[in-house]
Amino acid sequence: MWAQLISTLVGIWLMAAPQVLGYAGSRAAADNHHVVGPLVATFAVIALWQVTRPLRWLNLLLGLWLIVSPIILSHPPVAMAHSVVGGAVVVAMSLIRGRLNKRYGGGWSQLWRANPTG
Amino acid sequence: MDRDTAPDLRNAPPGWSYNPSTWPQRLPIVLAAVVGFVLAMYLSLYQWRIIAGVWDPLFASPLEPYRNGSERILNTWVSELFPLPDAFLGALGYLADAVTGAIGGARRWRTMPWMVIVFGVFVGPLGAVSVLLVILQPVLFDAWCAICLATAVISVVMIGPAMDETLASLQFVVQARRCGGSMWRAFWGRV
Repeated sequence: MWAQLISTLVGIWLMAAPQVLGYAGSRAAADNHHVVGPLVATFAVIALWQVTRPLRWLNLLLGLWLIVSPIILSHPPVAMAHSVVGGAVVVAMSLIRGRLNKRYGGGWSQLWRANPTG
Repeated sequence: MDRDTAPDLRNAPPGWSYNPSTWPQRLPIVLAAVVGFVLAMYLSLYQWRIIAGVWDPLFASPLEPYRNGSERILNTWVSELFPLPDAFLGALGYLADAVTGAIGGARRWRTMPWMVIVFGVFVGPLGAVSVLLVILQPVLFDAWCAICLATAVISVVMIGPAMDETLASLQFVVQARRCGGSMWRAFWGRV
């Protein structure tokens, strides 16, 4: 759960970073972080709850995108640093499952498995 | 985040360690939806010009004649895409969440699966649209709206806790078919 909280903070920080660090004028970098930041925060908040924890895998993809996107889109150095470091943190946090101590009757896969157990 | 109370275990779905339909489980979501409704109604009062301005403690407007970022965001072509103000449509969404979250007793995951599934269907898209609007604020209009951000937080926070009950009802309906029964009857709780 704490891992998803950290990803939430990274997402919110990315939303604010273009203004706070003064790269809002670099359109590609600012738009990138204004789009990816809210998405990271959203998936991380939803993944706080055990039943929707698998949504952390979407943040693995978004974290990887944050790491590689400065190569594809033009980023000033400060934006690039934030993208890569933030992305690395989000990737690391998405890999942490955390403690699962509740049972959900087999979970979501129970809905489409042919021969469910339990 | 979830509360396990021993007496509710007898009403828990098969294979579950708690019952997702108890009031301690549902009330926080309903209250969040009510707060979202009040905030969205406040914004739509401005969009109808029933009140002259909107309070925004955080953001300045990039554009005259708006006094702050909220007033800029609430006067864009996106906010006027529909015949009704977009904040009012959001308010209706929060109201639907609150009503469908509140109706039914502590066993409604199996007595009223249709209500729980409608609840889950309302909560998901409301969150998705809220986040889309948050993205559009800086990308299209170079402005932020503080209360709009607050409502988006509310709609996103509701998704996780609403999904456990939705899963319980979906499992109940699917299980009815596996036992040779009718999914349709199970959906309406007539089993």
